[in-house]
Amino acid sequence: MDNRQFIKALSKATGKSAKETELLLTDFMAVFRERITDMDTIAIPGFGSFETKKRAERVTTHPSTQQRIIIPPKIVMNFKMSNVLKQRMRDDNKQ
Amino acid sequence: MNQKITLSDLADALAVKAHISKAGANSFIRDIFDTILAGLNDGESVKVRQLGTFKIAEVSARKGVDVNTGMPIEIAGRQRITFTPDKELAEAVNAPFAGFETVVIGDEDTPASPETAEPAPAAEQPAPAAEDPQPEAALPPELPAAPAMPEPPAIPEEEPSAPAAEEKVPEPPVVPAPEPPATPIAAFADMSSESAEEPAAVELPESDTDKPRSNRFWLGFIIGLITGLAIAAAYSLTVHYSQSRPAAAAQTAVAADTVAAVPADTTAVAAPAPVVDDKPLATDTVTRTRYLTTMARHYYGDHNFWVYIYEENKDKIDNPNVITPGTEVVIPQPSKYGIDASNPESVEKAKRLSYEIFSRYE
Repeated sequence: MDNRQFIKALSKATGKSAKETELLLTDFMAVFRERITDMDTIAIPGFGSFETKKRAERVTTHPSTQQRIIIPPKIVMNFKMSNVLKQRMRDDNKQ
Repeated sequence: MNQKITLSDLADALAVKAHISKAGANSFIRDIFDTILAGLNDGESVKVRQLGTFKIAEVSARKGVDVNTGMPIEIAGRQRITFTPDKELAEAVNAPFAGFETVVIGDEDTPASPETAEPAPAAEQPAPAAEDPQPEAALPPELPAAPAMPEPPAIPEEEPSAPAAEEKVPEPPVVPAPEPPATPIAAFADMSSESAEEPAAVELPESDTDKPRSNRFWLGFIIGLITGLAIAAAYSLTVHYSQSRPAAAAQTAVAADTVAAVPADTTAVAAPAPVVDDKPLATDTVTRTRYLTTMARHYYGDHNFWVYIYEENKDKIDNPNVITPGTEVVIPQPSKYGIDASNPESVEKAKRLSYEIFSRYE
């Protein structure tokens, strides 16, 4: 499902026009980004949580050239499924 | 910062931004994620612009062990949702660290010619301070050198300090900016930077200036990076050292010269060596699981030597079998009581002393 299909499906679910939906989605993404770049954790009940983590810098050796390289630190974004969703998918699979 | 944002927090912010009702915003956000789930349920991956791609991945069944019975069991496979953030979003998240690039640690040669070797010993005193600017910033100039050289400064000691001086070069532009107390180091840095130019400092200062908000965060991190660099360089150069012994010899000769020129510093460096003997080895805290015997085994290699820790801390401890957890004890130097775990006579002596101590409390 690509972005266009997604917006179509979403507009169907909300009962709004595709254009309206897209604008709202853009607004939502702006809010989302603002919070996540603040290193906050965003939890969506029944879906999961998005959180950021700092990865420390590390020194590695290039396997073929044997050069030692410092990989800089990085902030990465993680998604974790909610337990409710996990359980539901497990139940779905059983049937 | 590091808050947990709930759906209603998001909905409130969205309602303000998009001028819709809170209830409407709330249901819209729910719809977004419900739609994503519905798409995933159809077995597709879902790509949302500005957010990322969600996919379903299979986790295959694996063998495990029942924690209670120890019996092998099979952990059933399951499905999980993976999320790959949109490139733009990932970059926005990583913005504070965007200025960093991977750095190849050059294994350039140790300074071999005399005039390049000279700056190294000169920069030696500021180097240890650069490792740890916060606590030592307030100390007078001579002092930073002292803690760094507890052992007598032998030739190998000179070697690591030389790379430390090189690695230290990125420091000057960073330290003066955040806090005024760091100025002694800055002064030092100036001293050393006249000999060593600043080749590697390019990306650090600019990122520092355009993110004043996260300065502290940055500072801590940069110190870490520099320390890492210094350690890595020291390692690579000690490896070099074994090959370039003559160069090192030349360097120590120069070091000796500077030592003669600056007698005050040499005392600072050499003094700690003889002092070590009557200084206690360490201090430790008695807890419910850490007794004097545990410490004796840890520090001296045999639990029987607990008696000497006891002797050293008689003023704080009464009955050795009744010590309040949390009591802090001083671990004496082994030489003070002739402690030697490999010598049966010494162990025997400790045992006899323990009988004597116990007899006092019977």
